[in-house]
Amino acid sequence: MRLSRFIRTNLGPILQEWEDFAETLAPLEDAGRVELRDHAREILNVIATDLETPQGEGQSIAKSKGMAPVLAIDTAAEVHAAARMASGLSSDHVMAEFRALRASVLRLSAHSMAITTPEEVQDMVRFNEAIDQAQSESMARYTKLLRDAQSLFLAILGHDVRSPLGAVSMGAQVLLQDQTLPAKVLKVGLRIFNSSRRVDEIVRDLLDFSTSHLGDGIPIDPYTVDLAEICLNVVEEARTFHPDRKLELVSKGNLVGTWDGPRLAQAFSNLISNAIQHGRPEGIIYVSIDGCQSDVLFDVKNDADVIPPSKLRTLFDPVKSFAIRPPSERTMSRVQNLGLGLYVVKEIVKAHTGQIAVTSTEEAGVKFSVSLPRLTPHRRNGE
Amino acid sequence: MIMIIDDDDGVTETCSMLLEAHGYNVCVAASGDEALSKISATSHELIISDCAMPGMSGAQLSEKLKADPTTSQVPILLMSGSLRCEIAEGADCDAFLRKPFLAENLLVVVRELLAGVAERSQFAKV
Repeated sequence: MRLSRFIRTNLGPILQEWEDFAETLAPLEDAGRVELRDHAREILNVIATDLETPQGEGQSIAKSKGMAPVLAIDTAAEVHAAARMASGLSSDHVMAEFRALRASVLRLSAHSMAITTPEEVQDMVRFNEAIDQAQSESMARYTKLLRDAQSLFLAILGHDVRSPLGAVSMGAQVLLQDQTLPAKVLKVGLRIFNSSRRVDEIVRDLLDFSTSHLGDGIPIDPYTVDLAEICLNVVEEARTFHPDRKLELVSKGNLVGTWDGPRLAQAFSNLISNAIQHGRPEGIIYVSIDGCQSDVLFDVKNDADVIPPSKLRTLFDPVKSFAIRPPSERTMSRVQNLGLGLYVVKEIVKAHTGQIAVTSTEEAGVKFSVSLPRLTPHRRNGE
Repeated sequence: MIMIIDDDDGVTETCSMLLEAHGYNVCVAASGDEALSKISATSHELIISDCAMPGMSGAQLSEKLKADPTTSQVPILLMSGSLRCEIAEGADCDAFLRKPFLAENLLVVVRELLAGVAERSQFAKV
């Protein structure tokens, strides 16, 4: 007997085994038959139909790798993944269901039919490919739904933090504008204002880190901007917030072009903040932006201890950078920050199809170099 | 009179204090519905509203005000703590600020929007 016929004529016992297994998964303890079986019948019918459809070698290889053509409508396996997520099952649970389904069909068929012909052997191969394909579809849908939910969760979190932070920041600014207040109150107001600004930067970097990890990087919206003006504003802001530090800016060449201005301001600001945080307090921070070449070059250089090569390699990847630290250096007292800002810089530069590099020597200190190609405008100015 | 609408009273309170310190008359509302019940074209020259509020959103409020001939000329400034701001999603407003923002930026935008109102009034008289 061909396997497709076996599946169609034994749907009852196969579905019963599926149901028995699903019932063992904790989130489905109290579920009824309809919920337990969910789309199992449809998945089996799709597999049976697939077995009955002639297939070339290329299609077979693609399917075994979970790379079958994408259909315009949702497959039963995809809808099943969404239903299981709604029921509270983890991705491991969904994987286990497909493993159990494979085992059930193979075991039940082994009891009632002998594999004797090359076609029946081929059926077994194709059945495994079809299960792999269904499992891939389910996992892809589950992961997408999870990613979308996390992305939305982070967006709401960002909003929820920023709104009260806005009140804190504005409250401090109201105090700072009242020059009749005692100097001590104004000093506290300035501290609250600076700290709320720092919290905003941390939240922004954390959200950028999370969303770019989950999706396709940091989106950019390029239009005509003047990087000389943007760079000057960032440096002036850093000077205002860190009056005790020395920053020198050299700006030359044609710096008007098409880039995402606010995003590059964020990147420049993160690199300068990094230099302020890690540079020697008495040292000068040199910032230069050069538009004399086809690409714009932006550098930030500061005096600092030499960074070991192993650390330099993971400097833009906060997770790896944290993972390679010995346990003794993972304590809160040894971790100044997670380095999210540098990751965000790398992603912003990447989104502009630019390059970023870092060097660290005793003589030259630490130098971050960014090169940015001039992008093609995709919209009119002022639009 | 400037109306500030936000479900976070910390925002309405501090923004009111700032604007009042610079000579503006301010009133507040905690929701879009409360704002609609208070707004009148003759007494309100500018609306400053949060985007994400329970019930009516800032974009929905803005849409209602712009569709009403009696309030369609009142400029609307939306503010939001979200990265994906509603202005990018087509909200009909005259200006947008992302929270937290600098007091100076709020004052500049308010001055510009009110100057636009004054300009329109003069034009109407001519």
